[in-house]
Amino acid sequence: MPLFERIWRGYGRFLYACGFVAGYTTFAMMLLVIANAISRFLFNAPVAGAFEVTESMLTVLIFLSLALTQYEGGHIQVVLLTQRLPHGLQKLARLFALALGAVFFAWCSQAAWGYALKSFAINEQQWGAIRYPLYPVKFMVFFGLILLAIQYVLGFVRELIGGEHIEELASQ
Amino acid sequence: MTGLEIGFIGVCALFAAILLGVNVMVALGAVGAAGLASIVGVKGATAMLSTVFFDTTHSFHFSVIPLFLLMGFFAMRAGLGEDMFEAASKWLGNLKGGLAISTTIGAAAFGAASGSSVGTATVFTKLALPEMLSRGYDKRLASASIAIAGTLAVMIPPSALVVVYGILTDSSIGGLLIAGVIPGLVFAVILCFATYVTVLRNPALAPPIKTDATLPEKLYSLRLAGPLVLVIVCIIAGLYLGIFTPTEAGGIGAGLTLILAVIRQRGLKGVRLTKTLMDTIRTSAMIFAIIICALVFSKFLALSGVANALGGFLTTLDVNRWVVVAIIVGIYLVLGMMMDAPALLAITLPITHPVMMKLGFDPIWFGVFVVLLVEIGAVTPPVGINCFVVQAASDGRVRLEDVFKGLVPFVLAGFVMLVLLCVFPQIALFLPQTMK
Repeated sequence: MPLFERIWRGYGRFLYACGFVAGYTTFAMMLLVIANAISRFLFNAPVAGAFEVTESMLTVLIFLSLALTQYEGGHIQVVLLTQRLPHGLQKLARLFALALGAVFFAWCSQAAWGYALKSFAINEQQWGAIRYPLYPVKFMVFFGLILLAIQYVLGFVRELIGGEHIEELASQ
Repeated sequence: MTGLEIGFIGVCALFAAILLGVNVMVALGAVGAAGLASIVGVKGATAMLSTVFFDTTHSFHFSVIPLFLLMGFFAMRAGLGEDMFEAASKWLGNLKGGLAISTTIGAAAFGAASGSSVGTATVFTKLALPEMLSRGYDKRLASASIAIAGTLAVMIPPSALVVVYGILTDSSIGGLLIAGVIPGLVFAVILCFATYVTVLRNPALAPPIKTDATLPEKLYSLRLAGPLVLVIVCIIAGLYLGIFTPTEAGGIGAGLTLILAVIRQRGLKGVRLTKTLMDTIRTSAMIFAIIICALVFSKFLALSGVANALGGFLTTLDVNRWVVVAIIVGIYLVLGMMMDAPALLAITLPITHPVMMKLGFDPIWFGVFVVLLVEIGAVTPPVGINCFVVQAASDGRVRLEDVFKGLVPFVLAGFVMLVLLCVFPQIALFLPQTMK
């Protein structure tokens, strides 16, 4: 199997593992929300910190699954026009779309990194029924965005060298 | 270059990027960020990008989206749609066009739980289409009744699309969810009526069927469909009475649906928990990516002054405000032919919402109106996504033209519903105004 294809598939497996964690975070969030609602309704005593932890769980589950969704082609795009273009122009449009995604999310990652570093420097805390540091969650935002930027770069390279051709070789 | 000029160039660039096949989230985010950079500088744009991702997702209220989605995927994975269709066809099968009407009612109830019009259309194509065709139903009527019934899914709560509208426009999510109840039910009745009249005019479309289900059989058919309807009623009642928040409604709804799914599949294995969770996070990521990038674009539009200028222009025009509504309807129908509902809302709301507010419309009413509008767009050619789904899931039983042709009376019914919402806005506003 060509080297790039091995990188591509290995990265895909890593993203799936991130998605797996995100999936069970969603399940844990459901259980926490239910426990909090029942406890508040029956005993007038909400689960301490449920509100704050649910917030952080949402951030974690979204940013751990952004890149996987892109890997599997799950982000919305309109191909009404491009699919009618000649093959060469189609490829050019795809390369442009992937390059733009890579640049934009690299910019976002850099911005999120600065934001997380600032939070780390001042040891920013989540205030509420319980206290915990917020910077790990902010680093998770950076992590998710950089994974997505890398995914766009890999997608660009794959398009450039002809991903379908590689897949044919791999299947042979 | 003035801010306004940059703003208009940004809007053109957005549509150009989308048509070039750029992911909608990238188009919104990149154009928004570049536009912001040209107005307030790169530092200002980077500052906006540094906070928007965390601030938007670090929210208890927005956790409702993955929870509603989870509830829907549990309902779909467990095959609860089958129970819905079985119950509806046992109770309503004897009516004129009874199976098509059963499909509408079953899809309305199942769609309410799943919140996904595409998901509902897929499930009911597999369930109801073979049944209708084997009973001699016309292909066009059968397939179209399924494609349109999917749209009910996003009107009746719980609905993730309504929450997307709430986040993008900073409107009350609880109020919006409750607002969809009466319009959703009224639309379901109108669709049933449209089927009934269509069959009355041309009885050959749906040969009469005599179902011989006895009362105990009818009651038995409610064994799982009944509890699922009960879950939906509990969610609506809980929200209306202020017993729980939308996020809690999502959590409880997902938990109860999981229990029903486990009962139906006789264990957790059949529910395929990991696959269900993976489907949930993929859709959640897709929706949140669009929401966040739309917020960047929206900030750019606001700073450039485009949203204000358009609103100002339309409000100073010497025309009735309903003319502006008609123009907006036209825009949504055209764009709805090209893209999915969440993307369409994300692209258009930064412009249309301020305009509608300036014209004095209620944000909750507009939420219900616009969600119905994008769903009508989802069944109109050339890119009626629900129609593609029905055709693709039909295993070659129907052609795309059959679905589109059959949809004419149902799209007309959709317009009747839009007119009803305009003439009687209380259909959408009564419940939110009286909720606790």
